[in-house]
Amino acid sequence: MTREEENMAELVRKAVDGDSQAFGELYALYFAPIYRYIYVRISVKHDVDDITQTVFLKAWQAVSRYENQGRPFLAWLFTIARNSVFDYRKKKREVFLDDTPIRDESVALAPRDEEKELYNEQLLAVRKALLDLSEDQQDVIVLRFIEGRSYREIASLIEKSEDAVRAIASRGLRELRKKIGRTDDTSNKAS
Amino acid sequence: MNYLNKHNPIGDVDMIRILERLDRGMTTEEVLLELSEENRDEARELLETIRLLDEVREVIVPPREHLQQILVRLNAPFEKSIDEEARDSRLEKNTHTPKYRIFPLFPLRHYFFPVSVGAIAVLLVVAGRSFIVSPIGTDAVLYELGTENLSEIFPDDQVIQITDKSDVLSVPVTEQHFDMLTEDTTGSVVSATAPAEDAGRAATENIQAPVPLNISRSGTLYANPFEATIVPLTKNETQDAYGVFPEDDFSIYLKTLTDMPIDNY
Repeated sequence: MTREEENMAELVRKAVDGDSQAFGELYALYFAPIYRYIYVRISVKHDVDDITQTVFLKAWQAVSRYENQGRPFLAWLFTIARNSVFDYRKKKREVFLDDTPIRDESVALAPRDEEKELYNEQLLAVRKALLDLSEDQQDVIVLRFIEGRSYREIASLIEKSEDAVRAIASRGLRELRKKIGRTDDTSNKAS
Repeated sequence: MNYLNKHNPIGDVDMIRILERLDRGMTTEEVLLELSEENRDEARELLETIRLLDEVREVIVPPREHLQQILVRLNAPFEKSIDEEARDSRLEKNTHTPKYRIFPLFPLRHYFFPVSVGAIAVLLVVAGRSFIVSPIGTDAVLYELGTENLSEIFPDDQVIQITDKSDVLSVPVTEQHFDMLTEDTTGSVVSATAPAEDAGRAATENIQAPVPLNISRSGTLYANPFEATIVPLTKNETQDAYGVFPEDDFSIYLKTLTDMPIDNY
């Protein structure tokens, strides 16, 4: 076990014992990946805020029952997040994509002013296409290409084999490319 | 060396190989150079998709205020879990629920249904008795005799109702009456037990007892068997036509019997 893993295990143990400060540190570590995962899966900003908060509140309320079964603590949080998203999607069958730019800084990321609109359109097309993928494909694409997790880690998080995860990632990417291309064609025809 | 030297579209295995090379740290240009010309355009689009996904990560920035809010909430200790709060809420509701009790050991809500049903049943029985039509038959007649005024039921007859054995009658009976009353002598022998108060002791001593007597009980006269003291009388002009008694209901009844033709009796 590496030093980092030992520190993490100690932090989790304290949180399980009811140490809110330790849980706060875990929250600070995992808030961003959980938030991004939920954002990609839902894409409605105010709902994303609520659900992310709910995930961590649920985690805090249930952390005393957490048992380390060899999986990372993030996997446990990720399971809560997946279930929360599932509940949300069940209530709201149709997801209305938030078309507004995710953040104002995205403007600064665009290389030139004339390319700013195209850049935002591309990102919007990716987010729309992501929502049309299957549940597994969304999970793997988000964790691999947005979160940058390794296949081994993803396999642990979603409880599938590494090969299965690679296959899901491959099909998901090709599916996504097709959907983005279709979206581009539609927008070109409209313009 | 081109590992994808073919014209077919990129499949799962090819895609996995591309991804493996990217994981090994190869640049997109290096990956594309290893592909055949026919597959490069498609591979380029896939790599572009991966780049856009990476851009999405760059633009999704979790709000700082959100983090601060949660940390503040975490610092305020969560004393109770959701389950505990739900349980407490239920308990609180229960304490606010009014408990209707007749007395402390008899909570009304537990017994209200059986008690109310029982009370309704009793009321129905009591009310229903007023509307019960008496059954026709001997029992009904006896019932009526036991409960009603006989003179009202049998207005055409002269009826004396005797309800108590202690009401011993001293019947003014002549020989004729006696013969008539004892015409059907199948009953028990009635002995003279006690004279009526109004009867004279001398008269009592003149009883020709024991006398077999059957006082008919089969009709309307008597509901229950009883013993009667029959006091034969000698005519006494100074009192009344039959001796000791003033003319009462029973005397009238006996006179009726005497006057009635035997075939109608």
